[in-house]
Amino acid sequence: MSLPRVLVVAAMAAFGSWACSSDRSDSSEVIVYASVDRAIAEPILERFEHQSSIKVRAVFDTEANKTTGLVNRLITEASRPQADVFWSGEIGQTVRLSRMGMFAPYKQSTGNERSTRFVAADNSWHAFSARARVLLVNADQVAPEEMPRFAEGLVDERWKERIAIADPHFGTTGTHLAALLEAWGDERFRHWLKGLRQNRVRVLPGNAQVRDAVVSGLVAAGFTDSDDAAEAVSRGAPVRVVYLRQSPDFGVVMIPNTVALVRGGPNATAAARLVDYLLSQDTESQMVAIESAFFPTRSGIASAEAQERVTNSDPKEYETLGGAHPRMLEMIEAEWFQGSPLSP
Amino acid sequence: MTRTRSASGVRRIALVTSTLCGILLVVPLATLVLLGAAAPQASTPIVSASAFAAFNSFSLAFAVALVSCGLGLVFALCVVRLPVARRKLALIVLGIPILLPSYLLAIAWAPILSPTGMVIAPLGASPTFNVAAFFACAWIQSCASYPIAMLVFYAALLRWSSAYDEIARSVALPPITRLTIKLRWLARPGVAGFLIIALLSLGDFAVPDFFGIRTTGSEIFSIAASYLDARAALYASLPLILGTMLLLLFLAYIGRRTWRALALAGAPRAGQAYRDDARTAKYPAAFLVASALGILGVPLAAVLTTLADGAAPWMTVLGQVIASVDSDIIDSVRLASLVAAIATIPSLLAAYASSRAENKIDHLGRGVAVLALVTPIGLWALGTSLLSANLPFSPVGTVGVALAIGIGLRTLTPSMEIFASVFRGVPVSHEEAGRAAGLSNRTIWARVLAPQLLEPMFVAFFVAWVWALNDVTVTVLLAPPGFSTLMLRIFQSVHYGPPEYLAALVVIHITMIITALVVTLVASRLLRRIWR
Repeated sequence: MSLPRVLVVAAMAAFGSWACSSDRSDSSEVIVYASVDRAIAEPILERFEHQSSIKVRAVFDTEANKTTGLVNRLITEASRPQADVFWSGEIGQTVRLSRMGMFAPYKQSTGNERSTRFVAADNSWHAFSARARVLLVNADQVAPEEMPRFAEGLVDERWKERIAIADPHFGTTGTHLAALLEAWGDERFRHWLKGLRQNRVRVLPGNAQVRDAVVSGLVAAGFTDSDDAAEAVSRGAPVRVVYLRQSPDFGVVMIPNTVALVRGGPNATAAARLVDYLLSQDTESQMVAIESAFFPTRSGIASAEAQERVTNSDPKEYETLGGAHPRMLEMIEAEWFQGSPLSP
Repeated sequence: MTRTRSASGVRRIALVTSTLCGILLVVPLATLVLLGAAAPQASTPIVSASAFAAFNSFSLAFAVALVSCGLGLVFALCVVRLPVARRKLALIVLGIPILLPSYLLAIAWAPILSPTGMVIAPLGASPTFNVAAFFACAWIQSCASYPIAMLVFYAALLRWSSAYDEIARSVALPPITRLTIKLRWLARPGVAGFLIIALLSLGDFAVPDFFGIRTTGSEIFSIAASYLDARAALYASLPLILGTMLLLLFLAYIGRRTWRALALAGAPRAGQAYRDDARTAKYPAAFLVASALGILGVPLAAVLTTLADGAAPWMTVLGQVIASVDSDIIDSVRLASLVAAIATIPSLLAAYASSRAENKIDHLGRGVAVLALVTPIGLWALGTSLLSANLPFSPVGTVGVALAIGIGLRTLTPSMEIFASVFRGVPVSHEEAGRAAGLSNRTIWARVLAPQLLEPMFVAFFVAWVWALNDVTVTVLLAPPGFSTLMLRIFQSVHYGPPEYLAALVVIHITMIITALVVTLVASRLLRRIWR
């Protein structure tokens, strides 16, 4: 074989071996399933890597199937866990997994100065850095005097074909509606769902799409998360962010991030260090600093006003959401989707 | 006699047209009625029932195939009128959109096509959410698909002999008759291109998902990625599978010439009919340049404008983004290379086996490969995911064997078709002559087949490479922890961060594909010289 041919074959072999090679040489690593927006989670995980010299291997979820995809992946892998840590952008599904025994109890090694509301009774999950469920309103379409006082009032006919909400099968919208069901009871919640259906509420794939629909004026208002709303405000869009009480007896819904140790995860020691890091004041400060989109679960980080908003928020008890979530989905299926194959 | 043939041709065209309309329009409408649906999605705000999704999918596929075939025919007619030396360049430039993921095109076109976009908004038009999204979807998918129709029509036109024109002129056939004859010549490949584009459009989930249109493809993806529920995914896939089977049966009815029309790799060398017919080359060249600028230049300009709108100079932004996603770029290249390596060799051997086998086996092998390709991508990804979860070994390395195999198996079909077209061009008698001369099989492969396979190997490797680079669906489900491709990052961060960040990611991805195309062309030429 001539020299050029030998060189070509050698180059192809070298390229092939590089493509197939593994760089898994780190002695210490942790695998985290994160349903938090990648743009937010990645810098925090990189900082942890830098401080601890522990390699973080992350799996992120997408906007549309937020949290639900990773939750079902954890359930599928239950007999042979691949993940060490589950970091969720909401709490409903975490509580559900906790009830299924997916998490190992963990008591923080450092002091925990957060309210007991933000820690599971059995220490199987820990909550931090909450987001508020807000109503994003297009200021060009809704005059200040038209602003609703309560979410319950959105069944009024003047909101017909003007409201959007994300698919409640996923993410914070699911937890939001589960909290409403828990607070209002079946009949009142069903009445609200029917009213929204009569008002031809637009169900969009995710909160970001709701934000975009409001910003572009396709709808006048929509439920979304405070970080999505903050993003729209930072772009200079003609919107107003309304921290809307749900009803006279139920306040603004606040949904915290949650973190838990996966039972039987392969790297327990490194995982504990990552959980400690995520629950630290440092991380919470970092998240709260992101365009005022997150609210702290401990005092001394944000303004008194922000702290007040968390204290007055609902629900006061998160543990019950795990049971409300499946019931909420059943009612949503019956009232909105009428037997769609999307049923979990 | 002539009249009888003509009448038969008209009947056949009528049959083909009505069957297509039946599959793509009547079936979804019947589904709607049967499932008791009241109206299409446009008038029903809360929708997720599969009937509506199927209706959206089929009407979108019909629109996309129609527009793509129109664009493809016009471009093919122009390309064959160019001087031979310029045709390859024209085909490559006009064919670039097929290399770009439709999702990327959606992001690039969004500033122009959305209801508040820079074109629609100043017009004062206020299309409804669904109507605007439907037209945006149809246009973007057509931009990504028309090269298939263009290549199919181009291959058919190359086989058209200029002698036919001369005969027609000499017997003074009226222009309308000459046009009819030519259209009949193009009908079969046209239908084949139409069906292939419709199938690809039916399977696409990313563009409808981007614009918030619920199609069967997006519904299957949602079920697969969110619930990992095979039964629900299969249930949602039924309208798509039914429609696909009907389309495939129809494709089979069209017959073997369909496959020949799709043997694209050999097409540029298949005929020389238009070799000297470059008299009107100036006009098509100007038209083609304008079209390429419109289809490729407009979205790229929108992306670059978005990039330039950022606070920092765009080169600085680009540099920062490249530095922050360097690991994704490396992962993307590694995955794509691994998939291409996995797909190229087996497809070469499979194509050789099938081309030298009896006809029935030939059809069977190719049919299985086609089925693998047209299986809804969400269902395919979910199946691979569930299978890999039960494998006795864990994903090896940072790329993941399951991921590479999952994408690689899907790329077997195009690679196999490329090699099959080459083997069809190499008569068995060449190999038999070698054996008769006492050459070993290894020598026959090295001296007879290899020189003819080098260029197709590069094409097949490149197709598989780009395919893997652009994949999102399988990667979402099968990416091992810590592994991320550039497309996956784009998919996961499309709704977040500053728009210039996303624009920078799009520019990087497009640059990677164009670079790979140039490297392939140069390497192919160099290697051909070395091997000689």
